Amino acid sequence: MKQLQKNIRRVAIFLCALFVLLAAWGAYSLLTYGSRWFASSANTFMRTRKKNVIAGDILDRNGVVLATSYNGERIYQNDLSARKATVHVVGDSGSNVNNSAESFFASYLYGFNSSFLERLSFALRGEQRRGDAVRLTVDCRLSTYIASIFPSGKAGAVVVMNYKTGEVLSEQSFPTFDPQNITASVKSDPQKPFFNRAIQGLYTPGSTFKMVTAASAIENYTNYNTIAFDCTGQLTLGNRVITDAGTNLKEDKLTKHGVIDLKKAFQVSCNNSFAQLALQLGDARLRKTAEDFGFNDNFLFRDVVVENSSYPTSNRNDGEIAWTGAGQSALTASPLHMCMIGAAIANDGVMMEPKLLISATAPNGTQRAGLTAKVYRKPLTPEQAAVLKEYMRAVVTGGTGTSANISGKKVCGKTGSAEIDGQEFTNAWFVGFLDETSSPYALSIVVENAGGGGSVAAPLARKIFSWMLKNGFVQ
Amino acid sequence: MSGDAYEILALLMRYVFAVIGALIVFRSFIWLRKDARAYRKEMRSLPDAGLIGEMVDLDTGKAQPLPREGVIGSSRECDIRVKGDGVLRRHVRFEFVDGKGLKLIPARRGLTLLNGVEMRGPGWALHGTQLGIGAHALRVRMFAGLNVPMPAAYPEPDTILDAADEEIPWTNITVENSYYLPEEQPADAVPFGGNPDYDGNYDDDGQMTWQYAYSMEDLRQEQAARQWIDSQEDAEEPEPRSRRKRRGRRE
Amino acid sequence: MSEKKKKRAHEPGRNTLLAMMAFFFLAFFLLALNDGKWESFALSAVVPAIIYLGTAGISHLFPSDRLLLSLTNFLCALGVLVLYRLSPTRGMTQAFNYGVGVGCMMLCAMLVRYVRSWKWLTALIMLGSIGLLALPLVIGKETNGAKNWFYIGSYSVQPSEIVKLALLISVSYLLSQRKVFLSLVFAGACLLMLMLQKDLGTALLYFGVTFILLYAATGSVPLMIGGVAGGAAAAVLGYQMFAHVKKRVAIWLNPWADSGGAGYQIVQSLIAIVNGGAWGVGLGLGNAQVIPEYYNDFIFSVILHEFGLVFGLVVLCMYLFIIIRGVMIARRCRTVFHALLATGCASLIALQTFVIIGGNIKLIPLTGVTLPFISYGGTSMLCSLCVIGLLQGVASRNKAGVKEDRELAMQGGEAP
Repeated sequence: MKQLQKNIRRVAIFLCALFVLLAAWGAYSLLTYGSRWFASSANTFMRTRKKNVIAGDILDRNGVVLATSYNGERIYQNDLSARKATVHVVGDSGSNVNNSAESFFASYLYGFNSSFLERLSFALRGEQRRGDAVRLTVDCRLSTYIASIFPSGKAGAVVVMNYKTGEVLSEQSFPTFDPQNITASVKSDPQKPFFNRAIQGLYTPGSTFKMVTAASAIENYTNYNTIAFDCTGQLTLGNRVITDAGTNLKEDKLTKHGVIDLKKAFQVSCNNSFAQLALQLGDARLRKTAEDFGFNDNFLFRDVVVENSSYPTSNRNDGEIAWTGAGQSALTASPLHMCMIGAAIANDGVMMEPKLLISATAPNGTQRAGLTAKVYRKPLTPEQAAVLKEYMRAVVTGGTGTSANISGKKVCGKTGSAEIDGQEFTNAWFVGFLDETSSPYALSIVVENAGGGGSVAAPLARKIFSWMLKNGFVQ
Repeated sequence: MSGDAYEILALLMRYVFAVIGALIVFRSFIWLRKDARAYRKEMRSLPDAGLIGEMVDLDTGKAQPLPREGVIGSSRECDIRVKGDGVLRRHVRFEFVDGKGLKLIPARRGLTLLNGVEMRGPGWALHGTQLGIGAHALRVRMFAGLNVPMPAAYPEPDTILDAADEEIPWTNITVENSYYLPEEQPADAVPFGGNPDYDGNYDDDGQMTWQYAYSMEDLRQEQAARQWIDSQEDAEEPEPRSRRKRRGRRE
Repeated sequence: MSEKKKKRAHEPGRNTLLAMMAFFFLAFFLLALNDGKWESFALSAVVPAIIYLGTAGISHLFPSDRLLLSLTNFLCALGVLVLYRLSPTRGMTQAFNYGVGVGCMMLCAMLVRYVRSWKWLTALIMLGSIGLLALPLVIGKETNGAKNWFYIGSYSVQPSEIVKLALLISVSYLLSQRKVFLSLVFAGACLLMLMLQKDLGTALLYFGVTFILLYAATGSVPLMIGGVAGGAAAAVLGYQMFAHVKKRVAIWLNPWADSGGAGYQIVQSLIAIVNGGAWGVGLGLGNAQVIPEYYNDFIFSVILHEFGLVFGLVVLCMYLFIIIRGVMIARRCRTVFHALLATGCASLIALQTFVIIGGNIKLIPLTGVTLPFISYGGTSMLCSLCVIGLLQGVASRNKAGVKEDRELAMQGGEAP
């Protein structure tokens, strides 16, 4: 009997532990994922409340109205091109765009966070309740300009960030559509205009990943600037052959760079050299650097839902590792993440969290949420970042990205031409930043099926930076 | 009631409900604690609650409280702890049956003596019954007022010295009134040996029909116990008094 | 104040009961303000009265554990409240089930209190339960991938709920008689029947309760390891064999992948919980009906949605107190059988609550069990109340034992 009592006691402790587990897990998952679930398009609770509340306005960083409620309907920016340029970050009233401001910040827009007293004052005055006005970090004019220069007919994405604070100045996906005129052709467009490629699109980064490979080299080798690579144009590993851009084996055209150092390899984007570098580093070290930069992490940013980037963890034979070093293989990243990587290098190795919300203001003026810059990771030390900055400057001054150069300003960047199976042309990539303390901006551009990064994406970068410098983006 | 006014009221009431809910939890918890405390206090004033008597070790004179159901053995988890040679970890299980007495179910045959008789199966103990477990002699003392048949009367010694000097009238304790209860004795009662009526704890070979946690340690202890008992029979040196009495009984 | 009045004022649990009555009065009154029906106004007076009668009244009729009764009545009334708000007819049916359940609860309590020899009764129960479990296989209908119902006239009967009680009693009895093997055989037979009926949630509960009772009775490590290994093997086997188990595990891992189709239920449940926030959206203001099966499997999500997280914790504490009370009753038992029975009852309620709330918040995959006392369903309510009845029986036995001891002590009867 004594033993029985002892055992019963232990059973009781076990059962209580089950309940504690329940409560703890519930609290944890709600705290971590709650806002995400709330913002999901499957949440229909807000729709039932929409008739009770006049939804608040969505403004850009300068106060330009991007969305407002009128007569029970949601109307967007008057100017058609501005409307189309910002549709992915703002959203539409039919929740066709996932995780846009309309749904993600719905709790502010529909007055969900209003205190009881505020509701009471509305009821007493007999007015219909109004939601909070949400001010975003995006700049409407910048987005309109970018939409006007993006190659028409091509799909892709552009992200512009302030690398000191993490504010997202422009988050765009192409093709776009008019939120006030969603036709059947828009819905059935095979290029999927509703899909927000900037934050949900996962692309092979191509040579832009060489930023990470080079960073790994700088971290792991103290003599990184004396390493020499012998680029013979063809590196055979098992049944894979690493070649460089411009090589066409059938026509006997072989691009080879000869014996070059790391900076030169980065400048000319030599696949062979980076493949050899990746093999020397080994998968473990390269993967560690990539994970320091945010690959394989579960992004849980407060303001924006970003698809997770992945560094492949299976099938790691030599050929795969080599191609990963050059930016191909099964690597995937979103344009926003690549912009964050460039921003980290620009910001002395400190990667800031992307921010989209400047403030949410109640109708009576109380500010409910504000902008606080938050550090996400610190993948590099300032010295290491300075070296990479130098390399990226070299790309623009004398490498594959010269068409991004602006005289008198220090533009740094990395081009990329990602090969995609089944696509005739490569995806054109450019990740770059302005190394100027008064204009701390970074961007990433991807144009699908367009050709070389240096020829298609880099000129866009130059245009964007020039426009920004001319139009007040100087502090 | 209009929709907006109800909404305001419902929003206000949710705080009220949460507060009342917390209050209910709080008061239930207090109630639980108060009840536990009151019970503990009551149990302190009833030191014999749940017990039916005592088990006295005749060598040391120590008495252990005897609950209604439990186990006698050498393990720490047993209700009656008996340490020493010849005692298994779980030696005898006991269970009080209202109206009949204390039912004893030994774990292995032949290792326990009930009033000097080797137990080959379950048996019954009443007030004054003596158990032989290993080197220990244990006597059952039951509280008055329990619903049990009266045992054959014999004076119970107060101390072990009395037990040594006194002539225990063993002849008074017959098989009938210590092993079987009179009304339960089958027509062809066998004085010694297993009772085939009992509920399947043993099969025909004397093996237990169930085993639980049968380990090498248990086997070793059983063998050691048997060996010890055998060695006691062969020993020439003067044995402890309790063994001497038991020996006399066996002839 | 007179002696009697003073005593009643300090009666334990009076304040708790009053708080519960106040809660339901306010809640039903609020609902009545919303829909303006006179029945709702009537309920705001009737339900608190029933709570009072159910606790104080029953404890005068039959010596029972008032604390347990009050906790149980609170949860049952909460179930009636939430179901009434969602659909008045369901609320009234639930109240009717509660009435029938209370009757059965008292029957079970008296059974445990007065039966002395469980030997033949247990044998009968064991045979009967195997027969009952076999019935749906023969004359049952298949719903939701499980074939565990059959109809008697117009009433649907779920024998696995009734057999739960039989399992508790028989396994406790067999273990108290040290017939470990036989208890395993019986439990195994029941589990097999349930697997054939594809009622895997209840099978999980049976397994859990048997495992806990085995541990309490024997505490033998090899048996426990064997049990865990067997359970894991059965889980893997079930996963391989049953397609709908695979689907459920896939939905549990990532319901957002198919948030419109298979994962819709759990996604809507999570969204409803998040919409509720800390204080809830307000009684009557929620849209919990979007969750499929909102009235039985996901009733807890509805509570979290309309009343909020804080109140959800309150409900969880109520269940926790019932279990603690059950274990306290078990610790006060004088016989092994009753102690095991009480432990079994407490662990059954605990496991059932854990499994269903875990499924609601995506801690574990969804299974087919219901939340005791609150879920809509006649057999579920009946079974849970009968389990509480068994506990009451054990508690009243303990009280009788203490009374006996007090009388013995008064006599001065010690060792002669």
